[in-house]
Amino acid sequence: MPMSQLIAKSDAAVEERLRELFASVLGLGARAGDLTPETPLLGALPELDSMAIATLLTALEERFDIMIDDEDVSADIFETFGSLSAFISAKVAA
Amino acid sequence: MSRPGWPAYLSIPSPAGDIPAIWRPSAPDAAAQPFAALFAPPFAEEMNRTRRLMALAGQRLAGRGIASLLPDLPGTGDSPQPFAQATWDGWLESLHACAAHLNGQGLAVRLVGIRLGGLLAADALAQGLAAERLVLVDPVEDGRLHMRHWLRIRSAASLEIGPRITLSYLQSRLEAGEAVEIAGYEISPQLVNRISTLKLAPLLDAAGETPVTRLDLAPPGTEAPPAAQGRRALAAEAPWTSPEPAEPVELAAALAEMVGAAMAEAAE
Repeated sequence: MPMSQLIAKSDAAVEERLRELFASVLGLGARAGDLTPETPLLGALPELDSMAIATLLTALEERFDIMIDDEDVSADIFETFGSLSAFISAKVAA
Repeated sequence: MSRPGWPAYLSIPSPAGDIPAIWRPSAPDAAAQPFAALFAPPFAEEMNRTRRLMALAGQRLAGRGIASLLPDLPGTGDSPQPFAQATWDGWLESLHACAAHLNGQGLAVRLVGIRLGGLLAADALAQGLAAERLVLVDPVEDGRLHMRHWLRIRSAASLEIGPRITLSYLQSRLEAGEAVEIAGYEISPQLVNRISTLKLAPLLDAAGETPVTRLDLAPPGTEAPPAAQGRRALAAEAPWTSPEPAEPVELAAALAEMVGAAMAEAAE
């Protein structure tokens, strides 16, 4: 995915729904409220292991009614909460 | 070592080889029930993460006078077979052998199928295993999607530590007849192909008269939807997906209740 798309602005409504998903799918609970666009994810959040990422991707597809092609998934997307939110915002808008 | 009320190690003979199992008798101070719970565990790493839930549920069941049997299916736990050689039919045979063992002790069987174990238990019923009841816990409904989920786990693991392994690459390996390793388990193309053909609903239809109750999970902290028609939901974390699972106390209690309660109550 080109960086321009990742820099595409992350939608505040998407961010809020994403926080809810992190709270339930990753079991972050109230801690999900502290997630900001700058919060690092991959390699920083212990709850986000490979099984959780797979579960999260499936939940994202269901919750946002989008298809996430595996070829689109890269480490860049999971770098920060903001980069993931931007990726989802772009998918939802597409 | 055998003490009343303490779990014991059993080795149950089956056509698929000897099956190691944990046998947990009913508690000495509880009125022993004429049936036992037989666990059909989840798949691969999900099983490991669910082990604590099954132990806690077993303790709860014992307190209600209900013995339970937790097998290490071929290729898992203490089974001598490598996981790569595990087959669906071998797992079905193992469940049948465990049920026969319980029947031999004068106990009827109540199946508890968790995640992929739910699909396995439903298939066992469809193939004639006699059980008084099946309790499903967040069962896999579509084997094909579940296998895709596992391939995605391998793909996700390569995000952090390269090289990148994509889903389509994994699928091409399987199509070439090679096993793929996911979360420490070497999974054969035969097993993936077989599981991919299975769906829960038709298996339950084929299972016939055995009453089925089902426990699903709602996100923690939310209000779980009310129980209806044999289905219940509990707002709790799913231990099978969490790398840092909380002690699944409520889930174990709900599970034990659904196994032990009279059918009308279990369905409520």
